Amino acid sequence: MLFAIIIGIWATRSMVQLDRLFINFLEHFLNPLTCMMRRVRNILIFCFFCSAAMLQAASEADSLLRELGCGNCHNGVVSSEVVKTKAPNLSFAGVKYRPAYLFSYLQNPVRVRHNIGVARMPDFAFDVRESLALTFFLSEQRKLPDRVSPGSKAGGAARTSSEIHKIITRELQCTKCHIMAGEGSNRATDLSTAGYRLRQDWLTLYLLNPAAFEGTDAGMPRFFFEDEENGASVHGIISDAEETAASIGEYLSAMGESKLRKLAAEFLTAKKNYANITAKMGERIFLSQNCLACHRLDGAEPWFNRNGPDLSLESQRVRPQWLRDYFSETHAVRPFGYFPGSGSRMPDFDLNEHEVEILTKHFLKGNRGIDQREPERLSPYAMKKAELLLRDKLSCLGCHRLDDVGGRIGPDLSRVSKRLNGPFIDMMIQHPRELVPESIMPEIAMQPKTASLMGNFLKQVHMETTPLGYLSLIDHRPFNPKARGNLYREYCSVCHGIDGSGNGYNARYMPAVPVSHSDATLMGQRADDTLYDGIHGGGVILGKHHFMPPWGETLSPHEIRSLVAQIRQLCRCEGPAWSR
Amino acid sequence: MRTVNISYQCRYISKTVFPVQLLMIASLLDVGSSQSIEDATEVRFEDFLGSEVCKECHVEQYSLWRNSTHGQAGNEPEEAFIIGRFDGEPRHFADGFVTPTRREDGRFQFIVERSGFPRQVVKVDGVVGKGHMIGGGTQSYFSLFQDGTMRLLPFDYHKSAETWFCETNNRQGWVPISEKLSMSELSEWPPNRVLGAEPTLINCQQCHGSQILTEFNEAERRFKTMYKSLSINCESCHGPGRRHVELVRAGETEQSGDIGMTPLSTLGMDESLDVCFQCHALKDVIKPGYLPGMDLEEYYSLKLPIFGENPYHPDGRVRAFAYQQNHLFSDCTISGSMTCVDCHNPHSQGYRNIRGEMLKGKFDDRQCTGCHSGKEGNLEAHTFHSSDSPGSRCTACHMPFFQHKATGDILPFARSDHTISIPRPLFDESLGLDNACSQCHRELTERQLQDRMFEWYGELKPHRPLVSGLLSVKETDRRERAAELILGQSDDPPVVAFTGLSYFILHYLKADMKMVEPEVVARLKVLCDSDDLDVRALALAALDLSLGTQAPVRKFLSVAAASLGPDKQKVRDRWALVLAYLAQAARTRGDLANAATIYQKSLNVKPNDPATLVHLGLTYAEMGNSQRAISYYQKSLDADPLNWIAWVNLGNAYRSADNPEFSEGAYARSIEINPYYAPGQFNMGNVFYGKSDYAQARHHYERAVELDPSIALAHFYLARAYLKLRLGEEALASVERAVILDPDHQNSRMMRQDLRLILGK
Repeated sequence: MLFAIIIGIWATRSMVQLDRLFINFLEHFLNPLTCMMRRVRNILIFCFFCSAAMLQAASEADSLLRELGCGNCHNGVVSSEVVKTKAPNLSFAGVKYRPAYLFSYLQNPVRVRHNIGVARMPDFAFDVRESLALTFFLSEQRKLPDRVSPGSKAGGAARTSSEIHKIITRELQCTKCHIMAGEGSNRATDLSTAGYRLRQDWLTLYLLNPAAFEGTDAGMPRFFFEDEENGASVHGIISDAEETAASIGEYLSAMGESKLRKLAAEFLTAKKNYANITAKMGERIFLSQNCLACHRLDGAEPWFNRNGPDLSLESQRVRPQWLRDYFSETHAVRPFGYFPGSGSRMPDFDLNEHEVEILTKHFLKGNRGIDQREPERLSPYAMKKAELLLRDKLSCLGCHRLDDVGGRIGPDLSRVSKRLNGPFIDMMIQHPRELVPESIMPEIAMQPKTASLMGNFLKQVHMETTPLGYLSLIDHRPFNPKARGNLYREYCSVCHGIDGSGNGYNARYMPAVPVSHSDATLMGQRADDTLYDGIHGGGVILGKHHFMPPWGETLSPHEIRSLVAQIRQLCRCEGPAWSR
Repeated sequence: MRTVNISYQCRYISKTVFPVQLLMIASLLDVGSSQSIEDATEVRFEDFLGSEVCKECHVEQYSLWRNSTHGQAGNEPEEAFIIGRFDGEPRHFADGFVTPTRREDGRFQFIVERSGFPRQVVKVDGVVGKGHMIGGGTQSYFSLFQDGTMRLLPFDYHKSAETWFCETNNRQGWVPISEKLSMSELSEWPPNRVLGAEPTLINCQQCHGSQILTEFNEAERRFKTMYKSLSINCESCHGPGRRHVELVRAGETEQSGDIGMTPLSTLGMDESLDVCFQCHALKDVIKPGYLPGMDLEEYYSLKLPIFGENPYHPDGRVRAFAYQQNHLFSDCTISGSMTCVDCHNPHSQGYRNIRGEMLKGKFDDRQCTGCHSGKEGNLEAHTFHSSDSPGSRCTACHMPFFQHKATGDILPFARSDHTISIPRPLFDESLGLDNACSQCHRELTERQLQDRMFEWYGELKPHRPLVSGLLSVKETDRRERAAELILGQSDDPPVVAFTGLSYFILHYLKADMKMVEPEVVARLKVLCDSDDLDVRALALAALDLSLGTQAPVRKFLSVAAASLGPDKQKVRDRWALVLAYLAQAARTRGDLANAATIYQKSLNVKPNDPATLVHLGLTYAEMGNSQRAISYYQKSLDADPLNWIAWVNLGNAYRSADNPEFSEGAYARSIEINPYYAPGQFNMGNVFYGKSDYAQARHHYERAVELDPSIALAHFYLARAYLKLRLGEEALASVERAVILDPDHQNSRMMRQDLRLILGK
């Protein structure tokens, strides 16, 4: 099989020819051999076809992954520069888009451009407030490309609608690529929608010099001006270019007027209902969702290089059916970010069945080695005991939900048996950071018997719970937990809050209020050693809730000491005099 | 003619007697199986199956347990288990000797020969302890008596001292048998302390064996002592196993999550502690009949032993004698969540850290550094001792072995301090404790040690405010100030709050006071809301005692009593008991009027309590009010017609009221119910003596001294009966015993003198 795979890789672009060559090779050299050898031959031929099919699928999958830009958020997948050229540059979104449209689009992104292949804007499941905040933020982005002057606009020439229609459809032949009111070819955007999507001024600017916005490789022809060879300036192709462009802009805007009125009304209502929403919130959402993985926005610094799980182990990690279902319809796994606190979401790409199948096969390569046997069956008593331990003794539910109890930091455990492979569950319980180095899941020293019980429990637990949803990016302020190597931010703030006041986003799901590290009176009664011990050994050793996990097996003594120092900064206090 | 008034023994005995002796048990019982699998609500003796049944499935746990101190805690008197030297050598007292020996059939026994008394052979029916404890391990012996009780024998063996010793009744503690020791100084001779929490007898409760029940059997007219084993078996912690076994054998656990037991590893801190506190705690009996699996607080109070003669110092360290319950005072429990099983493996009694990892032994630092990990990396920076020296062991400084003073200073009985204290040499000295530093550094004075501590650590962690208050409260006579110092808040550790409140009641409150400062009342009311049953009950009793007759407090108490919820009975039982304790204290000091008042308050809280009614009757009897005494005894008997003690006291009251016919009837009823009750026999002897039926009188007197040879008056009266029957030799022998037991009894002395002259002795 290995031999077949090597050959398959060597001849990636000549699959059919390779088939013939390889079969001939087998026929010539193996036919004279014994019956047993013939069986080997058949196996090899079978393996070859399998590998060839896999390679073909892999190739298609890689292409799809590139188009979708998956590797820009996930490690273990090829990263994509293509998607960055296809996703709109948002540096001038405030000049380009009508806010009411943005507000609507963010809530329900639909396919607008048909000239970008399978690339698409996925659905981040933004709600009204989140969309409002993002709209405010994007509307502030008004940095035009250097070669575009916002003042270079003219009034429309005095032309009738039919004249403009004629210019669009006959003179400029826009409908060769665009569709407009049912007329033309839908290979780019629907011009009937341009009016309510795009600002009229921007339409004019864009028509005059699309290359300035999209680069010289963009598919939109230049009808009115063209660049000098050195690109330093443009010169006109027709005499009344600016007036004509403005007329088209007016014409298209008029086409979208009624829809725009409706969108504007909804936008206005939202603004009135949520007067506290700000552009600053939108900026945090923009960064939390790693929008810069696909879009450009001048001056913006991304929070993350990657903000999703490494997918190179996906075949080891997840169960095939779950993955297939997840691709078909994504849902919240980590309700407030892969890096807890970031609020990042896995958006829904609205994959079609073929795409789902391609991606599923791609990620399950190598899955055949996984032990998919049923776990050791636990008695109902053992299941109850495990659940009791999780609820009453262990710290797992500080981060994970089980049925109706537990945090929103990690994935829901109620149905984890349907999501993860058994061996992965075992490994994750015992050595989470060896498996997922970037995870904050602490290593908990458990007796082997307990670890085994937990593993078996999770491999077969299935509770009918309401699926987790993503937490609101407005109610909870997303932040970059990895920023500046700040350990408190990364490990503690999800419960104790960034400012230590005990109000982290996970706090509301805890049965006990997390301690306020900014309370000088309270913290002044605790010795540094006590704080150290509490971090090291978990809440239970300080008589606090057992959902506060022990970090002693995860963080170094130096790191724990630095956390104690950070707590002292938050409370601006020292331990009691006797302890100093 | 004098009568013997008898009150209940056990209820009040814990106020003055330290239960340093181990208890014993008697007979094995068969296992019933009539209860259906579905019935899981009631715990019965028959539901306990013994550890051998557990072994069938839980081999590993059984194996660990079998060799543990629990597994080896007690046994039948078998040679392999006995560590005492039953060598046939007499051990001499000042007035007799005891010979631990073996019969020809191999059975173990003590032959007791006390001057003036008949030779007695006491067989050993049960053995408790095997000298396991390194601070001083012992072995005790029990014998089954004719009344069906299993009684502790006074002759114990000390393993490390390799000597026989006895507990004394004059606060010398434990004393090796020698010619300097009189048998009259032995607290257990004649044997009087029984196995099981039988309230009418001095008892050692239920800890020195498994599922010990001592109950009076009406049909057999004697006690029945039941236990499953003298070791501490699996079901002592896990509860009754019958239903579990039946469910497993029927395969029903495969269908449901019910295994008929609660997994102990899932218990919270308080529940987990209660498993161990079934035995490792001083407790007061609320009511008899407890078995593992029942609600411990319904049957025992874990804090009432503090009320009165507090066995602890204010910081929780053992003042006289206690078990490991004082770890409730430790910061590890109060500020942490330490349970016993965080350090002790419950199956092997080996040691482990909080993560359950087994450790080498009891001095392994990882018991502590599992939580106090900050100290682990740089031990010497904390200990100021070389890391490999004994002084660097956590337990050396924070869990030193302190001798329990109630056992005296002669024989080692030191137990590790479970309050996990900080060494404070001068402070420890002020409490009379041998501080941890001195245990190695004998050459240094406490002052020098204290200076060194200051040099190393500077200011030490202060005591909790309530503990500091308890240490300083003696300096104030002002009730308001005392209240500020020692009356806690609802969030104070319950055991400390209880200690402060106990002290406050006993020193600053009286019955029916005219005025108590509003600030004090307010603080007491706060404690009436405590989540802790004992604290709540004690606070209610405090208000009831001092201001219970005043309308505002009366109303408050009524409302509080009505809102006790599911804990109603448990709180009321404690509340009534606290008042009964206070009444008893008043009666003991001769303040009979107050005693009667407080008993009545107790009855208001728990009407018709048979024991309290008897005590109130006794109080009136001592006041000379026979009619009221009779009425209360009658009420007691209405509540419990089989109360042989009440019948005897009723007989006494009728005698005082010149109603001999009723008196005789009452005594007869007492004997009819329980013929093994010595005061009943004695008083019936008096009846026959009064009727000049000396033969019958002799019979009853002889029975009385046989059942309880310690009643000096019974020996004297028996001598008188012998004289009437012209049995001079027997009379002299009997009166000699009367004088030995009560040398100050003039009539006995005169009779002995006369008889000696007459008989030429």
